[in-house]
Amino acid sequence: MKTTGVMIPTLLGRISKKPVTVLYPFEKLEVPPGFRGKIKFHLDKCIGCGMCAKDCVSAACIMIEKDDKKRPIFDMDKCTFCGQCEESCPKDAIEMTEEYELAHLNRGEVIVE
Amino acid sequence: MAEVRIPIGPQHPALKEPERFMITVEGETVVDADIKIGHIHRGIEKLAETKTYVQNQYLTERICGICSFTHTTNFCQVTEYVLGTDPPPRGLYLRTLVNELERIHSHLLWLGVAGHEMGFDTLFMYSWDDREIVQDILEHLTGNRVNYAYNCVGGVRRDITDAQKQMIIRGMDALLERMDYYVKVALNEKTILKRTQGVGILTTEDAKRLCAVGPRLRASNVKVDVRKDDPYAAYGELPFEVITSDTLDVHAQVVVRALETVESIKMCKYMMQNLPAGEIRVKVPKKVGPGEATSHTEAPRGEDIHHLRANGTDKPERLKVRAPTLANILNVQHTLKGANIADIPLVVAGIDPCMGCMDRVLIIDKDRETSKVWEKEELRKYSIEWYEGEPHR
Amino acid sequence: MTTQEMVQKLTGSLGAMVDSVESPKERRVYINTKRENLLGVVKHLKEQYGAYHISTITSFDNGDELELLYHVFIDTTFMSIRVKLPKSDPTVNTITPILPGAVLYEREISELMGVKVKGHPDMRLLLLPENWGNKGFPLRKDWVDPRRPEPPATEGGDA
Repeated sequence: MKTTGVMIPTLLGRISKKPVTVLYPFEKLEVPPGFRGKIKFHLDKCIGCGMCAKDCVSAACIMIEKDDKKRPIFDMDKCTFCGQCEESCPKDAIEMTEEYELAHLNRGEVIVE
Repeated sequence: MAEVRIPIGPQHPALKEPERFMITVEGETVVDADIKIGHIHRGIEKLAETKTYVQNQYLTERICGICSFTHTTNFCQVTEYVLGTDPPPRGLYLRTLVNELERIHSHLLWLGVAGHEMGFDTLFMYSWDDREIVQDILEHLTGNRVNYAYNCVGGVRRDITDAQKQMIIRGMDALLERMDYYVKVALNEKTILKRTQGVGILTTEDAKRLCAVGPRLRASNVKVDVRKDDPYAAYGELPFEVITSDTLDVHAQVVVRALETVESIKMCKYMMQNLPAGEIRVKVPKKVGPGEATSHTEAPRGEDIHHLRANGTDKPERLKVRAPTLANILNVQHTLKGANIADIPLVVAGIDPCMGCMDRVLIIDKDRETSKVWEKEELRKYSIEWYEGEPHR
Repeated sequence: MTTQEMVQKLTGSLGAMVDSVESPKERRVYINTKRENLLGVVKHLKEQYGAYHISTITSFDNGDELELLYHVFIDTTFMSIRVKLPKSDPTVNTITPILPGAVLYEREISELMGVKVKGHPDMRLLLLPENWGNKGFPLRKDWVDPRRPEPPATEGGDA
């Protein structure tokens, strides 16, 4: 039957349900396990091989020399969160955490060392 | 009646992405349409030549935000063809699974956008709500909602757990019910029928002549689907129907996409029940080639092609990408002729355009020299030069 | 029809118009031809094999010659017609009258790779900005971004 208002039953059925969206800063959705968020770097495990920097597509991960040791730093505002560095690291020194709130007033605060 | 030319875009409230239409109208009827694209070129083909194969997995993902997985599938396949690697069956099934989940979310997104274009925002709200079911599954499965980073040359990067399997089956059951309802809505709701029936008709001959692809071609009653004609990944083993429609208009596209989503949901359930055991990826060398290969896949919007020439180093010699929207631009131009001005957004939305996908080749967004503020005299000089010189080569 | 049968049939029916027909993989066929025979091959594929869908045209810069691959999809076979042009005279005849779908792809190769397409109905710029002028053909290997005086440093691999 060709008619208007095919959607009205669904529309009325929605009244008793809670809204689909949440009020973000006050309520937060649960992040699933395995989510790729802000990088956590374990300096003690790093051997300075540079595999992470070699495979990084966006040059967010670059090698620097500090205290006579080669090590990467991660610029999270360039990061595409693909997780390739985590995969490339032979010593599991890089870990993707579930932290996703990366807005800062100062650019230096988003650099993970 | 005199002809009037109306420019629409690059920035326009009726368009979601930047492209420019020059529409010539006589009264309310469009008599000619000209399309200028290229406003969001990012130079990905050129850039791919400077990146390694590992990096290109993530670069090709950025060609499109909605059908990102089909581009990585294409890139990984084309590299595997050159290498002569066969990914393990479980890896292929998981790759196909994400491809189909992506098709479901893309088609639901389109249904919402089409509803919005025809002024039926209720449909928009509900279809996007149901799309969240797929998005949640994708987020659990791959770790992200849109750019999944799930594919790799030689297979996929993450295995699936039993809990995720159950989540997919439950989600697909819920979606199947919702899709049956949307099919009913698409066939019966007067708002949809009045706006879409008889609008944007593309005959079978024209669709073939202008090389249309994807749901637009199948809505013109041509039974072509890369998944069926040239099976890749695990599609050769899956049962599914190629949906066509013989009404040729925008309504045919609504129906084709809705029924295709139903097919995809059934495929996802089938894959979860028949998932082979074993490895998910094989290790591949970093240096590829020399050699060349072509891969094409059925993206949600149609046939998507990657052609790779490798030279034995860890970087491609040349990577050619043809996204489906570029193939569909010609038939939009054709179907716009004779349409009403009010139908333009719907005809354009009909092919599910993805300009970001299509405009991928070049580096240029704005010439530095011309972006400064001009004095009136300079502008006059420029305009004279522009017309006297040969800017179009 | 298997791909090998298709290759034999094509070799027979195209005759002297092509240099060779080869198939590296199932459902992939490469047809190597010369540019003066291109129109004949495309016309033959359309009339004898019912080709109507041109998927795209891939262009390569091989140093002193340009190479074009016309990808035509027939039923289940993905055919690529290979044509080579010298860089000093990169002219090729348009195939738009035979396969109208090629119109945008020919514009694309003409502005990005500098292939001169003879007889094309509409040669305005498609992807590049209107004031592009003579800034070169971006997909050629020797192209340098005019806004950047030196090319970006690349490590290893491609020269």
